[in-house]
Amino acid sequence: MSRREMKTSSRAPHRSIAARFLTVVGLLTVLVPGLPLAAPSEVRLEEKLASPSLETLWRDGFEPERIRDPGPVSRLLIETRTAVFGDRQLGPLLGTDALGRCLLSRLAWGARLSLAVGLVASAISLIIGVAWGAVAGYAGGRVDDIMMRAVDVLYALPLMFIVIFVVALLRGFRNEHPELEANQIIVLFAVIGATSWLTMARIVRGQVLSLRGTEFMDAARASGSTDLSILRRHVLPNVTPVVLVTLTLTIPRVMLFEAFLSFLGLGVEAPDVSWGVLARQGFDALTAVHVNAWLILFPGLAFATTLLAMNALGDRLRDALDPRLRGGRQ
Amino acid sequence: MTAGVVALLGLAGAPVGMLLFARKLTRHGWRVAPFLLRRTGWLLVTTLVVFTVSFLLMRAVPGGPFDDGRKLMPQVRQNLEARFGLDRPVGEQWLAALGGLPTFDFGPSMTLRDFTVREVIGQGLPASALLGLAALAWMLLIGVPIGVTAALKHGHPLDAALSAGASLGMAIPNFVLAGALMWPLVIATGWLPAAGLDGPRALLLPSFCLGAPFAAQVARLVRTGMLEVLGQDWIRTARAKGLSETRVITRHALRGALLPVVTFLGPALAGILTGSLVIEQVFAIPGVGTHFVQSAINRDYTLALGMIMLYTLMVYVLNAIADLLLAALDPRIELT
Repeated sequence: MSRREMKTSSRAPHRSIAARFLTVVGLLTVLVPGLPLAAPSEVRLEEKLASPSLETLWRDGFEPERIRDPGPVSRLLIETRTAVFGDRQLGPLLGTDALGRCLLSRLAWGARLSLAVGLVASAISLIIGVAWGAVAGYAGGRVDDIMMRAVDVLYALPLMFIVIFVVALLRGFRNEHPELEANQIIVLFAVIGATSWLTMARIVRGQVLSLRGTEFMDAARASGSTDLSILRRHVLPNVTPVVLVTLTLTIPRVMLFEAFLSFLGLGVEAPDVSWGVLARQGFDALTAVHVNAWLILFPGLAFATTLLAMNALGDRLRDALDPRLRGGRQ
Repeated sequence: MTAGVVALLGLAGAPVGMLLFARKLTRHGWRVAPFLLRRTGWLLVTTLVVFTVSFLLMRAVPGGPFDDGRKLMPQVRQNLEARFGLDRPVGEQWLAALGGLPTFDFGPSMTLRDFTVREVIGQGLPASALLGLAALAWMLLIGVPIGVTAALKHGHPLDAALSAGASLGMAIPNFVLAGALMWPLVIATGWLPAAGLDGPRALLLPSFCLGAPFAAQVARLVRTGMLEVLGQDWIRTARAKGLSETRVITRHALRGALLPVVTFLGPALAGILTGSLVIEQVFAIPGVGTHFVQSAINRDYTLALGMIMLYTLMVYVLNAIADLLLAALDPRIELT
């Protein structure tokens, strides 16, 4: 697809259902504090394990102070919300958990953390991976050899296991010293991001290598551009499509990994909520006596729809950008 | 003593066996020897690096195996530390542990009383290996046929349905899948046992939940591969010389379409190992996975070290085997 076609064609990735769905999810996620939802940690023991129902659509009782240290933007949104809705909030439309907390509100707040984990970790891997791959591919020769050999060595390591090992070690330390509230989520972001840049580096390097012999690069060099400006003006724009595709496929992987860690008790910790935590709680609520199916169904659906959309968008982007599928036009 | 001899024989015998096997397998002849040698060399380097880094990491994080909340009398703690050699300098401890590495003899576990690291691994590994192999079988047995069917029905609603199913399989965490399947198959009907690993019936559900996400990826790879291959000239030739459609697909097309699957085998095996940590916990399977996480949390130095080395070795060796298989299927591939 040419750039022009990308803008107008109905097959353009940004016009797909997946892209629109993700835009809506993303917007809602940002706006969560401004929506008339119950506070995610509001406990109502008298309503515990209520199944989904539309009986109480609206009710009073929102307590803004129950939302734990909101940032400046969230505080503004909460203030707007109280100005518009007062202390009214949506009832537990998707049911409640074992402590009577509203699942709808917890899913909405959990989306913030889950998506943030996915985005921030992917962004870290993006920055390291693109820088590493671009420098290696552009420099070539010995530098390239050494840098890519380092990537090979890291590839051979069982990185997942080392990550789990490190997080578990730190968690053990935390359990014994609760007074040290090191933010586990930041550790999580950093560790996941720092280990998932290898594929990105390889792909970017391959792409840059194929750019090296092109005439416009020679022209840029002949006209006296510095290496840095060539990298910035010519190399980076040309690797952007591939990077975008890799990125859309990295985010779902990271989000699944967050769920995985949360299941093992190594991920996000209460009172914070993420989809992984909710899925784990839903799994725990599944007993022979009471099948509280909604508690695992809705987190599962949240994962399924969002990750499906991301994967679909990634595939769509790849189809649109992959030169092999462009019908012979280079 | 005997264990040591057996281990040494194994260490010496494994590469020779590998070499003979790989030579037959790959048509690369004796050229597989340098490949295996290089891989063994890298394996030693990797093992040493992972070993040292994990060893130092465990000691760098404050606290130790005997700090689990209860107050120990200083004398008791001293005795415990002396028993496990924790009172000696770190370098000396490192050397002692390194000596146990070739035979996996890391000594007794620090938190599971009366068990050595070798015993824990020996008891858990068969169950974990069985689970992993069964998951691998599911991955291929569901993934490949679905991929082929989807490709043959390209554009048909069946293709759309299968592809959608495959995408869904990649989009939910395996324990959510386990929960969703557990209700109809275990809780409501009692068809399958809920936990443990007694008999093949108990293996069905856990291995399916572990293998399904990878089966989904295999299906997608096979579908794309088949679509690409089916358009090639040599497939037309095969048809033109009068081969039956089944033979064209199974003998000619599938061979080409399976290449991406074999490439995916390495990451898939690593992924199955990772996923088994969760699945073992979900279905209460007495494998090594639970020990891996728990020993690191408890800072059970000896057991945690044994566990991370075990998984490092498995990931590494499985990756090497996957590379050999790839070379066996595609003679153009250079072994590096």
